[in-house]
Amino acid sequence: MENVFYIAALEDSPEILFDYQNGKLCISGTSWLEDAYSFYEPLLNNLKVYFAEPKSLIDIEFKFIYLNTSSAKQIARLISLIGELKGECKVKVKWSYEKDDLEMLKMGKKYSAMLKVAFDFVETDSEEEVVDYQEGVYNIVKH
Amino acid sequence: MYSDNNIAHRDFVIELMKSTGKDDLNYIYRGEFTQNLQQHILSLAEKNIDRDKISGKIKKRIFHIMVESIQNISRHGDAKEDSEEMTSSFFSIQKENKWYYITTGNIIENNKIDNLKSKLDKINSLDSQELDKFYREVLGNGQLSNKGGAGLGLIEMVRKSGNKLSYQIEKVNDEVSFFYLHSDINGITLEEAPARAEDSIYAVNYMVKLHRFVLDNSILLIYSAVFDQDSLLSLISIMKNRMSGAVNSKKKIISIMVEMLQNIIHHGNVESTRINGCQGIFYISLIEGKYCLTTINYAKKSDAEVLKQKIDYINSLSDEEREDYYNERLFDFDGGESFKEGGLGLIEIRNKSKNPLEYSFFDSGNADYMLFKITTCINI
Repeated sequence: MENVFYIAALEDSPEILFDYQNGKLCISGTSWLEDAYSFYEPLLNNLKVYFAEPKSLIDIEFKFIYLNTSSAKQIARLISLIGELKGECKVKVKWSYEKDDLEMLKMGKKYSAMLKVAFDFVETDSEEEVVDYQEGVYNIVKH
Repeated sequence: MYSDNNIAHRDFVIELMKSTGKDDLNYIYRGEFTQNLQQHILSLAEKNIDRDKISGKIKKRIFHIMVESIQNISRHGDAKEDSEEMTSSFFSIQKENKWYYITTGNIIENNKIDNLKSKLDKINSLDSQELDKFYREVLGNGQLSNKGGAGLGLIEMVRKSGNKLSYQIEKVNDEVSFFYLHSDINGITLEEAPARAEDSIYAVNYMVKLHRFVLDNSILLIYSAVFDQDSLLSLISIMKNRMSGAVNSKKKIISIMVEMLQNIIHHGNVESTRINGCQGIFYISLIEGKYCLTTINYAKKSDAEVLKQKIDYINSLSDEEREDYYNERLFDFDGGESFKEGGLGLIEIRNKSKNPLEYSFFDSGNADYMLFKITTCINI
Protein backbone atom coordinates (compact mmCIF):
# COMPACT_ATOMS: atom_id res chain seq x y z
CA MET A 1 0.00 0.00 0.00
CA GLU A 2 1.40 3.38 -1.00
CA ASN A 3 1.42 6.21 1.47
CA VAL A 4 -1.10 8.33 -0.29
CA PHE A 5 -4.21 7.75 -2.37
CA TYR A 6 -4.82 10.77 -4.51
CA ILE A 7 -7.32 11.76 -7.21
CA ALA A 8 -7.18 15.25 -8.73
CA ALA A 9 -10.36 17.26 -9.08
CA LEU A 10 -12.13 17.60 -12.41
CA GLU A 11 -15.03 19.79 -13.39
CA ASP A 12 -17.47 17.16 -12.16
CA SER A 13 -15.49 15.22 -9.59
CA PRO A 14 -13.84 16.14 -6.29
CA GLU A 15 -10.26 15.95 -5.16
CA ILE A 16 -9.53 13.03 -2.88
CA LEU A 17 -6.49 12.90 -0.68
CA PHE A 18 -6.07 9.95 1.66
CA ASP A 19 -2.86 10.08 3.65
CA TYR A 20 -2.65 6.69 5.35
CA GLN A 21 0.32 7.41 7.59
CA ASN A 22 -1.29 10.39 9.22
CA GLY A 23 -4.77 8.91 9.03
CA LYS A 24 -6.10 11.90 7.09
CA LEU A 25 -8.77 11.79 4.42
CA CYS A 26 -9.96 14.88 2.61
CA ILE A 27 -12.62 15.02 -0.12
CA SER A 28 -13.25 18.43 -1.59
CA GLY A 29 -14.95 20.07 -4.56
CA THR A 30 -17.85 19.33 -6.82
CA SER A 31 -19.26 15.84 -7.11
CA TRP A 32 -21.65 15.69 -10.07
CA LEU A 33 -20.66 12.21 -11.07
CA GLU A 34 -22.97 10.31 -13.29
CA ASP A 35 -21.46 7.00 -12.22
CA ALA A 36 -20.53 7.86 -8.65
CA TYR A 37 -20.31 4.21 -7.72
CA SER A 38 -17.27 3.56 -9.94
CA PHE A 39 -15.62 6.75 -8.82
CA TYR A 40 -15.88 6.17 -5.06
CA GLU A 41 -15.45 2.40 -5.04
CA PRO A 42 -11.60 2.51 -5.07
CA LEU A 43 -11.66 4.82 -2.06
CA LEU A 44 -13.98 2.47 -0.21
CA ASN A 45 -11.66 -0.42 -0.99
CA ASN A 46 -8.70 1.55 0.32
CA LEU A 47 -10.57 2.28 3.53
CA LYS A 48 -11.05 -1.46 3.99
CA VAL A 49 -7.31 -2.01 3.58
CA TYR A 50 -6.59 0.90 5.92
CA PHE A 51 -8.78 -0.51 8.68
CA ALA A 52 -7.39 -4.04 8.23
CA GLU A 53 -5.08 -3.16 11.09
CA PRO A 54 -6.46 -1.38 14.15
CA LYS A 55 -6.03 2.39 14.04
CA SER A 56 -6.26 4.94 16.80
CA LEU A 57 -7.46 7.97 14.83
CA ILE A 58 -8.89 8.90 11.46
CA ASP A 59 -9.27 12.55 10.63
CA ILE A 60 -11.75 13.21 7.81
CA GLU A 61 -12.64 16.42 6.08
CA PHE A 62 -15.51 16.79 3.62
CA LYS A 63 -15.62 20.01 1.68
CA PHE A 64 -18.29 19.78 -0.98
CA ILE A 65 -19.45 22.62 -3.16
CA TYR A 66 -21.97 20.46 -5.01
CA LEU A 67 -23.10 16.93 -4.30
CA ASN A 68 -25.52 15.24 -6.69
CA THR A 69 -27.75 12.47 -5.41
CA SER A 70 -25.77 9.59 -6.90
CA SER A 71 -22.66 10.95 -5.15
CA ALA A 72 -24.61 11.51 -1.92
CA LYS A 73 -25.52 7.83 -2.05
CA GLN A 74 -21.86 6.80 -2.30
CA ILE A 75 -20.83 9.13 0.52
CA ALA A 76 -23.56 7.43 2.57
CA ARG A 77 -21.90 4.08 1.79
CA LEU A 78 -18.52 5.49 2.76
CA ILE A 79 -19.86 6.82 6.05
CA SER A 80 -21.57 3.58 6.83
CA LEU A 81 -18.41 1.60 5.99
CA ILE A 82 -16.39 3.73 8.41
CA GLY A 83 -19.03 3.05 11.05
CA GLU A 84 -18.65 -0.68 10.45
CA LEU A 85 -14.87 -0.81 10.42
CA LYS A 86 -13.76 1.78 12.91
CA GLY A 87 -13.77 -0.47 15.97
CA GLU A 88 -11.94 1.41 18.71
CA CYS A 89 -10.62 4.00 16.27
CA LYS A 90 -11.53 7.58 17.06
CA VAL A 91 -13.24 9.28 14.12
CA LYS A 92 -12.94 13.03 13.73
CA VAL A 93 -15.03 14.63 10.97
CA LYS A 94 -14.97 18.17 9.73
CA TRP A 95 -17.82 19.06 7.39
CA SER A 96 -17.19 22.31 5.53
CA TYR A 97 -19.99 23.94 3.57
CA GLU A 98 -20.16 27.18 1.67
CA LYS A 99 -21.64 30.25 3.28
CA ASP A 100 -25.46 30.01 3.59
CA ASP A 101 -25.56 26.60 1.91
CA LEU A 102 -28.00 25.14 4.40
CA GLU A 103 -28.75 22.17 2.15
CA MET A 104 -25.12 21.07 2.36
CA LEU A 105 -25.13 21.59 6.12
CA LYS A 106 -28.24 19.41 6.30
CA MET A 107 -26.52 16.65 4.32
CA GLY A 108 -23.65 16.72 6.82
CA LYS A 109 -26.13 16.39 9.67
CA LYS A 110 -27.69 13.31 8.05
CA TYR A 111 -24.29 11.64 7.79
CA SER A 112 -23.37 12.67 11.32
CA ALA A 113 -26.54 11.06 12.67
CA MET A 114 -25.88 7.92 10.63
CA LEU A 115 -22.30 7.57 11.90
CA LYS A 116 -23.31 8.59 15.43
CA VAL A 117 -20.29 10.90 15.50
CA ALA A 118 -20.61 14.64 16.12
CA PHE A 119 -19.21 16.50 13.11
CA ASP A 120 -17.39 19.76 13.32
CA PHE A 121 -19.42 22.01 10.98
CA VAL A 122 -17.51 24.85 9.38
CA GLU A 123 -18.95 27.55 7.15
CA THR A 124 -16.55 28.77 4.44
CA ASP A 125 -16.61 31.55 1.84
CA SER A 126 -18.17 30.79 -1.50
CA GLU A 127 -15.71 29.77 -4.19
CA GLU A 128 -18.16 30.05 -7.04
CA GLU A 129 -16.76 33.25 -8.56
CA VAL A 130 -13.24 31.84 -8.62
CA VAL A 131 -14.41 28.69 -10.38
CA ASP A 132 -16.22 30.68 -13.06
CA TYR A 133 -13.14 32.74 -13.71
CA GLN A 134 -10.98 29.68 -14.16
CA GLU A 135 -13.44 28.12 -16.54
CA GLY A 136 -13.40 31.29 -18.59
CA VAL A 137 -9.63 31.21 -18.85
CA TYR A 138 -9.67 27.57 -19.81
CA ASN A 139 -12.05 28.21 -22.64
CA ILE A 140 -10.20 31.23 -23.93
CA VAL A 141 -7.00 29.21 -24.08
CA LYS A 142 -8.79 26.38 -25.84
CA HIS A 143 -10.24 28.45 -28.65
CA MET B 1 -48.78 30.34 -19.50
CA TYR B 2 -46.55 27.43 -18.74
CA SER B 3 -49.01 24.70 -18.01
CA ASP B 4 -49.98 21.84 -20.25
CA ASN B 5 -53.29 23.56 -20.84
CA ASN B 6 -51.36 25.48 -23.40
CA ILE B 7 -51.59 22.82 -26.06
CA ALA B 8 -49.92 24.90 -28.74
CA HIS B 9 -46.86 25.38 -26.56
CA ARG B 10 -46.65 21.72 -25.67
CA ASP B 11 -47.08 20.55 -29.22
CA PHE B 12 -44.44 22.92 -30.49
CA VAL B 13 -41.83 21.61 -28.09
CA ILE B 14 -42.75 18.01 -28.71
CA GLU B 15 -42.65 18.50 -32.46
CA LEU B 16 -39.24 20.11 -32.04
CA MET B 17 -38.02 17.12 -30.11
CA LYS B 18 -39.57 14.56 -32.46
CA SER B 19 -38.10 16.28 -35.49
CA THR B 20 -34.64 16.00 -33.97
CA GLY B 21 -33.19 12.72 -35.18
CA LYS B 22 -30.82 10.43 -33.34
CA ASP B 23 -27.65 12.20 -34.47
CA ASP B 24 -29.20 15.62 -34.89
CA LEU B 25 -28.84 18.74 -32.85
CA ASN B 26 -31.31 21.44 -32.04
CA TYR B 27 -29.96 24.16 -29.83
CA ILE B 28 -31.03 27.70 -29.28
CA TYR B 29 -29.76 30.21 -26.76
CA ARG B 30 -31.42 33.54 -26.14
CA GLY B 31 -30.18 36.34 -23.97
CA GLU B 32 -27.01 38.19 -23.19
CA PHE B 33 -23.80 37.57 -25.07
CA THR B 34 -20.98 38.57 -22.77
CA GLN B 35 -17.49 37.42 -23.71
CA ASN B 36 -17.60 34.71 -21.08
CA LEU B 37 -21.03 33.49 -22.13
CA GLN B 38 -20.00 33.36 -25.78
CA GLN B 39 -17.28 30.86 -24.91
CA HIS B 40 -19.68 28.60 -23.05
CA ILE B 41 -22.43 28.85 -25.67
CA LEU B 42 -19.97 27.87 -28.40
CA SER B 43 -18.46 25.13 -26.30
CA LEU B 44 -21.77 23.23 -26.11
CA ALA B 45 -22.17 23.38 -29.89
CA GLU B 46 -18.54 22.42 -30.45
CA LYS B 47 -18.73 19.37 -28.22
CA ASN B 48 -21.69 18.15 -30.24
CA ILE B 49 -20.10 18.76 -33.62
CA ASP B 50 -16.83 17.24 -32.48
CA ARG B 51 -18.58 13.90 -32.16
CA ASP B 52 -19.85 13.97 -35.74
CA LYS B 53 -18.22 11.81 -38.33
CA ILE B 54 -17.35 14.57 -40.74
CA SER B 55 -13.97 15.81 -41.88
CA GLY B 56 -11.90 17.91 -39.51
CA LYS B 57 -11.65 20.58 -42.16
CA ILE B 58 -15.41 20.99 -42.31
CA LYS B 59 -15.65 20.99 -38.51
CA LYS B 60 -13.16 23.83 -38.41
CA ARG B 61 -15.21 25.76 -40.92
CA ILE B 62 -18.37 25.24 -38.91
CA PHE B 63 -16.62 26.48 -35.76
CA HIS B 64 -15.33 29.46 -37.68
CA ILE B 65 -18.81 30.38 -38.88
CA MET B 66 -20.21 29.93 -35.38
CA VAL B 67 -17.63 32.34 -33.99
CA GLU B 68 -18.27 34.92 -36.73
CA SER B 69 -22.03 34.58 -36.18
CA ILE B 70 -21.90 35.02 -32.45
CA GLN B 71 -19.54 37.97 -32.79
CA ASN B 72 -21.94 39.59 -35.23
CA ILE B 73 -24.52 39.69 -32.47
CA SER B 74 -22.36 41.72 -30.15
CA ARG B 75 -20.67 43.68 -32.92
CA HIS B 76 -23.74 44.79 -34.80
CA GLY B 77 -26.43 44.51 -32.19
CA ASP B 78 -27.84 47.97 -31.56
CA ALA B 79 -29.91 47.21 -28.49
CA LYS B 80 -29.48 49.47 -25.52
CA GLU B 81 -27.67 47.96 -22.55
CA ASP B 82 -29.93 46.11 -20.12
CA SER B 83 -32.94 46.61 -22.32
CA GLU B 84 -35.44 43.92 -23.15
CA GLU B 85 -34.21 44.16 -26.73
CA MET B 86 -30.77 43.17 -25.55
CA THR B 87 -31.94 39.84 -24.19
CA SER B 88 -33.96 39.04 -27.29
CA SER B 89 -30.79 38.27 -29.25
CA PHE B 90 -30.21 34.62 -30.00
CA PHE B 91 -27.75 32.12 -31.36
CA SER B 92 -28.90 28.84 -32.74
CA ILE B 93 -27.49 25.76 -34.40
CA GLN B 94 -29.45 22.93 -35.95
CA LYS B 95 -28.14 19.81 -37.53
CA GLU B 96 -30.23 17.60 -39.74
CA ASN B 97 -29.12 15.01 -42.29
CA LYS B 98 -25.55 16.27 -42.53
CA TRP B 99 -26.64 19.84 -42.95
CA TYR B 100 -25.74 22.43 -40.35
CA TYR B 101 -27.76 25.59 -39.91
CA ILE B 102 -26.43 28.47 -37.92
CA THR B 103 -28.77 31.34 -37.22
CA THR B 104 -28.40 34.48 -35.17
CA GLY B 105 -30.76 37.30 -34.46
CA ASN B 106 -30.23 40.75 -33.04
CA ILE B 107 -31.67 44.23 -32.93
CA ILE B 108 -30.50 46.80 -35.46
CA GLU B 109 -31.42 50.43 -35.95
CA ASN B 110 -33.74 51.01 -38.88
CA ASN B 111 -31.45 53.61 -40.42
CA LYS B 112 -28.77 50.97 -40.91
CA ILE B 113 -30.97 48.50 -42.72
CA ASP B 114 -30.40 49.79 -46.26
CA ASN B 115 -26.65 49.69 -45.87
CA LEU B 116 -26.70 46.21 -44.38
CA LYS B 117 -29.02 44.90 -47.08
CA SER B 118 -26.88 46.24 -49.90
CA LYS B 119 -23.78 44.75 -48.28
CA LEU B 120 -25.43 41.34 -47.97
CA ASP B 121 -26.90 41.44 -51.46
CA LYS B 122 -23.55 42.37 -52.89
CA ILE B 123 -21.77 39.52 -51.05
CA ASN B 124 -24.47 37.08 -52.15
CA SER B 125 -24.13 38.17 -55.80
CA LEU B 126 -20.42 37.33 -56.03
CA ASP B 127 -18.89 34.03 -57.08
CA SER B 128 -16.01 32.63 -55.05
CA GLN B 129 -13.25 34.36 -57.02
CA GLU B 130 -15.02 37.69 -56.88
CA LEU B 131 -15.58 37.14 -53.20
CA ASP B 132 -11.85 36.64 -52.57
CA LYS B 133 -11.11 39.79 -54.50
CA PHE B 134 -13.75 41.74 -52.61
CA TYR B 135 -12.40 40.42 -49.30
CA ARG B 136 -8.91 41.73 -50.13
CA GLU B 137 -10.37 45.05 -51.21
CA VAL B 138 -12.30 45.55 -48.00
CA LEU B 139 -9.29 44.43 -45.99
CA GLY B 140 -7.03 46.80 -47.93
CA ASN B 141 -9.02 50.00 -47.89
CA GLY B 142 -9.58 49.61 -44.18
CA GLN B 143 -13.00 51.23 -44.06
CA LEU B 144 -13.63 49.56 -40.75
CA SER B 145 -16.76 50.60 -39.00
CA ASN B 146 -16.38 51.86 -35.45
CA LYS B 147 -17.40 48.43 -34.19
CA GLY B 148 -14.74 46.74 -36.30
CA GLY B 149 -17.00 45.36 -38.99
CA ALA B 150 -17.03 46.47 -42.64
CA GLY B 151 -18.58 43.16 -43.56
CA LEU B 152 -15.43 41.03 -43.37
CA GLY B 153 -17.22 38.65 -41.03
CA LEU B 154 -20.09 38.29 -43.47
CA ILE B 155 -17.73 37.63 -46.37
CA GLU B 156 -15.93 35.03 -44.26
CA MET B 157 -19.20 33.27 -43.50
CA VAL B 158 -19.98 32.88 -47.19
CA ARG B 159 -16.42 31.80 -48.03
CA LYS B 160 -16.33 29.19 -45.27
CA SER B 161 -19.80 27.77 -45.85
CA GLY B 162 -19.68 27.85 -49.64
CA ASN B 163 -23.25 29.03 -49.46
CA LYS B 164 -24.99 32.35 -49.67
CA LEU B 165 -26.33 33.94 -46.54
CA SER B 166 -30.03 34.06 -45.88
CA TYR B 167 -31.42 36.93 -43.91
CA GLN B 168 -34.69 38.39 -42.82
CA ILE B 169 -35.56 41.70 -41.23
CA GLU B 170 -38.63 42.12 -39.06
CA LYS B 171 -39.66 45.59 -37.98
CA VAL B 172 -40.02 46.00 -34.22
CA ASN B 173 -40.96 49.70 -34.08
CA ASP B 174 -40.08 53.03 -35.76
CA GLU B 175 -36.56 52.91 -34.43
CA VAL B 176 -35.39 49.31 -34.54
CA SER B 177 -35.86 46.02 -36.34
CA PHE B 178 -34.85 42.46 -35.69
CA PHE B 179 -32.21 41.10 -38.03
CA TYR B 180 -31.96 37.35 -38.68
CA LEU B 181 -28.85 35.96 -40.32
CA HIS B 182 -28.66 32.35 -41.41
CA SER B 183 -25.91 30.11 -42.83
CA ASP B 184 -26.24 26.63 -44.29
CA ILE B 185 -23.21 24.37 -44.23
CA ASN B 186 -23.09 20.98 -45.83
CA GLY B 187 -21.26 18.46 -43.67
CA ILE B 188 -20.12 16.27 -46.53
CA THR B 189 -18.50 18.54 -49.05
CA LEU B 190 -17.54 22.15 -49.50
CA GLU B 191 -15.84 21.79 -52.85
CA GLU B 192 -18.92 22.17 -54.94
CA ALA B 193 -21.71 23.45 -52.80
CA PRO B 194 -24.59 21.08 -53.40
CA ALA B 195 -28.04 22.43 -53.84
CA ARG B 196 -29.02 24.16 -50.66
CA ALA B 197 -31.41 22.41 -48.39
CA GLU B 198 -34.31 24.63 -49.36
CA ASP B 199 -36.79 22.03 -48.19
CA SER B 200 -35.35 21.90 -44.70
CA ILE B 201 -37.60 23.11 -41.96
CA TYR B 202 -34.66 25.08 -40.61
CA ALA B 203 -34.83 27.81 -43.21
CA VAL B 204 -34.66 31.37 -42.04
CA ASN B 205 -38.44 31.84 -41.92
CA TYR B 206 -38.74 28.83 -39.62
CA MET B 207 -36.09 30.36 -37.38
CA VAL B 208 -38.16 33.55 -37.18
CA LYS B 209 -41.07 31.45 -35.92
CA LEU B 210 -38.85 29.58 -33.47
CA HIS B 211 -37.52 32.86 -32.14
CA ARG B 212 -41.06 34.19 -31.70
CA PHE B 213 -41.95 31.03 -29.76
CA VAL B 214 -38.88 31.39 -27.56
CA LEU B 215 -39.74 35.03 -26.77
CA ASP B 216 -43.45 34.35 -26.16
CA ASN B 217 -42.59 31.61 -23.69
CA SER B 218 -39.69 33.44 -22.03
CA ILE B 219 -37.36 30.61 -22.95
CA LEU B 220 -33.65 31.13 -22.37
CA LEU B 221 -32.35 27.93 -23.87
CA ILE B 222 -33.54 24.85 -25.72
CA TYR B 223 -31.30 21.86 -26.16
CA SER B 224 -32.25 18.70 -27.93
CA ALA B 225 -29.51 16.24 -28.87
CA VAL B 226 -27.22 13.81 -27.11
CA PHE B 227 -27.35 14.02 -23.34
CA ASP B 228 -24.15 13.05 -21.61
CA GLN B 229 -21.88 14.37 -18.89
CA ASP B 230 -20.07 16.63 -21.37
CA SER B 231 -23.19 18.38 -22.58
CA LEU B 232 -24.41 18.60 -18.99
CA LEU B 233 -21.25 20.46 -17.97
CA SER B 234 -21.58 22.86 -20.90
CA LEU B 235 -25.23 23.55 -20.12
CA ILE B 236 -24.33 24.25 -16.51
CA SER B 237 -21.54 26.63 -17.49
CA ILE B 238 -23.96 28.57 -19.67
CA MET B 239 -26.58 28.81 -16.97
CA LYS B 240 -24.09 29.67 -14.23
CA ASN B 241 -23.03 32.66 -16.24
CA ARG B 242 -26.50 33.51 -17.49
CA MET B 243 -28.39 33.52 -14.21
CA SER B 244 -28.50 36.43 -11.88
CA GLY B 245 -29.41 36.26 -8.23
CA ALA B 246 -27.98 35.10 -4.94
CA VAL B 247 -25.25 32.44 -5.06
CA ASN B 248 -27.38 29.96 -3.15
CA SER B 249 -30.44 30.31 -5.36
CA LYS B 250 -28.21 29.72 -8.35
CA LYS B 251 -26.68 26.69 -6.66
CA LYS B 252 -30.11 25.28 -6.03
CA ILE B 253 -31.11 25.68 -9.68
CA ILE B 254 -27.82 24.17 -10.86
CA SER B 255 -28.29 21.19 -8.53
CA ILE B 256 -31.81 20.57 -9.82
CA MET B 257 -30.56 20.89 -13.38
CA VAL B 258 -27.90 18.24 -12.71
CA GLU B 259 -30.52 15.81 -11.37
CA MET B 260 -32.92 16.42 -14.25
CA LEU B 261 -30.25 16.05 -16.93
CA GLN B 262 -28.78 12.96 -15.30
CA ASN B 263 -32.27 11.46 -15.28
CA ILE B 264 -32.23 11.74 -19.07
CA ILE B 265 -28.69 10.36 -19.25
CA HIS B 266 -29.70 7.33 -17.17
CA HIS B 267 -33.20 6.67 -18.39
CA GLY B 268 -33.56 8.39 -21.73
CA ASN B 269 -31.28 6.03 -23.57
CA VAL B 270 -32.73 5.28 -26.96
CA GLU B 271 -29.65 3.59 -28.38
CA SER B 272 -31.06 0.15 -27.83
CA THR B 273 -34.49 1.00 -29.16
CA ARG B 274 -35.91 1.45 -32.59
CA ILE B 275 -36.72 5.06 -31.90
CA ASN B 276 -34.99 7.14 -34.47
CA GLY B 277 -35.03 10.22 -32.32
CA CYS B 278 -32.73 12.06 -29.97
CA GLN B 279 -32.65 11.20 -26.28
CA GLY B 280 -34.72 14.12 -25.20
CA ILE B 281 -35.13 17.83 -24.89
CA PHE B 282 -34.23 20.25 -22.14
CA TYR B 283 -35.38 23.82 -21.94
CA ILE B 284 -35.29 26.55 -19.38
CA SER B 285 -37.43 29.64 -19.12
CA LEU B 286 -37.53 32.64 -16.85
CA ILE B 287 -41.07 33.64 -16.02
CA GLU B 288 -41.81 36.39 -13.51
CA GLY B 289 -38.65 35.79 -11.54
CA LYS B 290 -39.08 32.02 -11.59
CA TYR B 291 -36.75 29.70 -13.44
CA CYS B 292 -38.66 26.80 -14.95
CA LEU B 293 -36.71 23.74 -16.06
CA THR B 294 -38.31 21.13 -18.27
CA THR B 295 -37.11 17.84 -19.66
CA ILE B 296 -38.90 15.48 -22.00
CA ASN B 297 -37.59 12.03 -22.76
CA TYR B 298 -38.73 8.60 -23.88
CA ALA B 299 -39.91 6.18 -21.21
CA LYS B 300 -40.84 2.55 -21.76
CA LYS B 301 -44.58 2.11 -21.53
CA SER B 302 -44.01 -0.71 -19.06
CA ASP B 303 -42.00 1.65 -16.79
CA ALA B 304 -44.40 4.57 -17.10
CA GLU B 305 -46.85 3.30 -14.48
CA VAL B 306 -44.09 2.72 -11.92
CA LEU B 307 -42.67 6.17 -12.57
CA LYS B 308 -46.11 7.74 -12.24
CA GLN B 309 -46.74 5.97 -8.95
CA LYS B 310 -43.38 7.04 -7.62
CA ILE B 311 -43.92 10.71 -8.45
CA ASP B 312 -47.46 10.69 -7.10
CA TYR B 313 -46.12 9.14 -3.91
CA ILE B 314 -43.41 11.79 -3.54
CA ASN B 315 -45.98 14.51 -4.18
CA SER B 316 -48.32 13.05 -1.57
CA LEU B 317 -45.77 13.22 1.26
CA SER B 318 -45.53 16.01 3.78
CA ASP B 319 -42.15 17.73 4.18
CA GLU B 320 -41.36 15.59 7.17
CA GLU B 321 -42.44 12.34 5.55
CA ARG B 322 -40.41 13.18 2.48
CA GLU B 323 -37.36 13.81 4.61
CA ASP B 324 -37.76 10.38 6.18
CA TYR B 325 -38.26 8.79 2.78
CA TYR B 326 -35.10 10.47 1.47
CA ASN B 327 -33.04 9.28 4.43
CA GLU B 328 -34.41 5.80 4.12
CA ARG B 329 -33.38 5.66 0.46
CA LEU B 330 -30.02 7.32 1.14
CA PHE B 331 -28.98 4.66 3.63
CA ASP B 332 -30.53 1.71 1.85
CA PHE B 333 -27.70 -0.47 0.58
CA ASP B 334 -29.65 -3.61 -0.18
CA GLY B 335 -28.22 -4.33 -3.61
CA GLY B 336 -30.12 -3.78 -6.82
CA GLU B 337 -30.56 -0.46 -8.44
CA SER B 338 -30.75 1.45 -5.18
CA PHE B 339 -27.21 0.39 -4.41
CA LYS B 340 -25.79 2.49 -7.20
CA GLU B 341 -28.36 5.10 -8.00
CA GLY B 342 -30.58 5.36 -5.02
CA GLY B 343 -33.49 6.84 -6.93
CA LEU B 344 -32.98 9.98 -4.91
CA GLY B 345 -33.08 12.38 -7.85
CA LEU B 346 -36.80 13.01 -7.95
CA ILE B 347 -37.04 13.47 -4.18
CA GLU B 348 -34.16 15.92 -4.33
CA ILE B 349 -35.79 17.89 -7.15
CA ARG B 350 -39.01 18.06 -5.12
CA ASN B 351 -37.15 19.13 -1.95
CA LYS B 352 -35.03 21.79 -3.57
CA SER B 353 -37.76 23.31 -5.71
CA LYS B 354 -40.21 23.44 -2.78
CA ASN B 355 -42.96 22.73 -5.28
CA PRO B 356 -44.78 19.53 -6.24
CA LEU B 357 -43.34 17.73 -9.27
CA GLU B 358 -45.30 18.62 -12.41
CA TYR B 359 -45.30 15.83 -14.92
CA SER B 360 -47.20 14.36 -17.81
CA PHE B 361 -47.01 11.53 -20.31
CA PHE B 362 -47.68 11.84 -24.02
CA ASP B 363 -47.93 9.52 -26.95
CA SER B 364 -44.55 9.22 -28.65
CA GLY B 365 -45.75 7.67 -31.88
CA ASN B 366 -43.87 4.49 -30.90
CA ALA B 367 -45.82 1.48 -29.67
CA ASP B 368 -43.44 0.71 -26.79
CA TYR B 369 -42.60 4.19 -25.57
CA MET B 370 -44.26 7.20 -24.03
CA LEU B 371 -42.90 10.70 -23.78
CA PHE B 372 -42.31 11.73 -20.21
CA LYS B 373 -42.27 15.42 -19.39
CA ILE B 374 -41.30 16.93 -16.08
CA THR B 375 -41.16 20.61 -15.11
CA THR B 376 -39.65 22.21 -12.05
CA CYS B 377 -40.06 25.88 -11.20
CA ILE B 378 -37.83 27.61 -8.69
CA ASN B 379 -38.21 31.10 -7.27
CA ILE B 380 -35.04 33.09 -7.29
